[in-house]
Amino acid sequence: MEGLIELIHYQYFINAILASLLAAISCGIAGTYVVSRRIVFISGGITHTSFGGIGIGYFLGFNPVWGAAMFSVLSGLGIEYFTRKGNIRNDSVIAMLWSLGMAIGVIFIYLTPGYAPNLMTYLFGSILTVNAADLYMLLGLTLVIILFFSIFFRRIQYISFDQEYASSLNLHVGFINYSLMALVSLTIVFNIKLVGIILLLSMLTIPQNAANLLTKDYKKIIILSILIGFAGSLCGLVISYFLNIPSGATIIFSLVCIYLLLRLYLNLRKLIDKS
Amino acid sequence: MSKILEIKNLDAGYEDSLVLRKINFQVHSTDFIGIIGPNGGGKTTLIKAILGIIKPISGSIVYHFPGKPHDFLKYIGYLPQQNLIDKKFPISVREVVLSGLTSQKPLIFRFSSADKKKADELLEKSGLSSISQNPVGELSGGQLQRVFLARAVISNPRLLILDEPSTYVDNRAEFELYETLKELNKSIAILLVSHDIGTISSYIKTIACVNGNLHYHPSNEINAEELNVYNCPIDIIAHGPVPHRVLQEHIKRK
Repeated sequence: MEGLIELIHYQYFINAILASLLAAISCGIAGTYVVSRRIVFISGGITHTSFGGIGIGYFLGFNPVWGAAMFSVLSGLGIEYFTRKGNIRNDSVIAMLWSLGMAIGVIFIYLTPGYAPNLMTYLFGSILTVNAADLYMLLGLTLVIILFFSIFFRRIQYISFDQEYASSLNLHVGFINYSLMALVSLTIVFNIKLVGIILLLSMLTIPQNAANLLTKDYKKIIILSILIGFAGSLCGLVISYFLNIPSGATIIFSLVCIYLLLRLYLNLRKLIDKS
Repeated sequence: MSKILEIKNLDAGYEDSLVLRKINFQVHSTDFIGIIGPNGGGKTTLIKAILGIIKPISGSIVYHFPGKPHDFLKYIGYLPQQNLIDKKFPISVREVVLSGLTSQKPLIFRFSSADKKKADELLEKSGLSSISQNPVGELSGGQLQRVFLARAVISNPRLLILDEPSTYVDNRAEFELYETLKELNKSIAILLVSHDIGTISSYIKTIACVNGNLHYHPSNEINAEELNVYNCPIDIIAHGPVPHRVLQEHIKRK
């Protein structure tokens, strides 16, 4: 316990806690959209495509996060566009983008002279290296997402539930779907530093599925996802610190544990209720 | 009986395929029209064009509703095909019914207590009051259909469009649905899309055969020869104590 209190004195640890909170909020909201509209695979595609931008950032010497943002937003909007047209195999295109992005990333990082210093950070995350600039970007994005969802909450819900019907009501389906795709893409990119490209998908899905065990209400799923995501991140953060193991992986592990414990608890309660 | 919808020389379809050619079609205020035709013949395309989801390639669709022309959606209720619904989606029965009012609302809105009262009344009438707060995933096919019908009519439309409403419901639910439609037809015009005409023929008043083009048939009875003339190959299903299908007579060779 003493060690835990001592940690609060370190700025990098405070940054990590703030990042966890912002990640929990942004991923909690964006992930609820992703899970309910069943675009988890699309999000996986967007996440991995962003690696291409990271590689180009390294090669040309600008902040890889901006490269990643460009790649992920473009791939997100592109996938939405092709999905709307509906005359192609959606999943095949996503798989192509997915591997193309990774390939571009690998090639450019290989071409960059010298050792690529933070490569592992982008792949597996490193929440303890989050700095003030990262936090401001994440804060800005989180505020935009909260604002967008507050304004369009009902439209988002109705369009995700029944797009055909929403089109017949003229609920601005195109505008809302494209905007959400851009927001989901940016959420993914700005959270890469926390858990890394390879593990990021779980931040968008595990809290939501755990929350969905407890409620079938869209708003409550968002709120519970944020709480579960934050709890999982904090647990992972502390455990990784004391056991000296990678933080990103530990966060994911904590989230899965929360999900499984919740399932176990609910199943046990069902059994007890029956007997 | 006033005209509410007028389609003139409509060509409609998608980027690489023209599905409907030179459609001329009118709907009046007390019509109950069965839209029949083979799959891929353009029934759904016609509906999408009427709802403004796809734009006409050429020709025009004129709505004779009160208010501004682009407000036409306020006067149309729509019940889409049920297979497009994700049953795991987190939304309550009452919320689904309320969503039918969204086209009448500004960008940022809340549902008023009058809206909620209306939704509750419709759910009461549909016998769904006790489950109005439940997630839609828990409903049976027939219950879900009643929820979608309530959603389609909560905005007091002048025209109700239903796309294959009986596909996922049992016979009883189907019967109840058509009885409800008959009641609604006293004040609302109805377009009912169906791939078969057996069950619906006693409820509809007239028939539109859609297969690339549209042939209007001003009666609710149609026979095989007429369908042939209209180039509208669909099954005519006869109902009896045992489910059966009547096939075309074999041509006898001598």
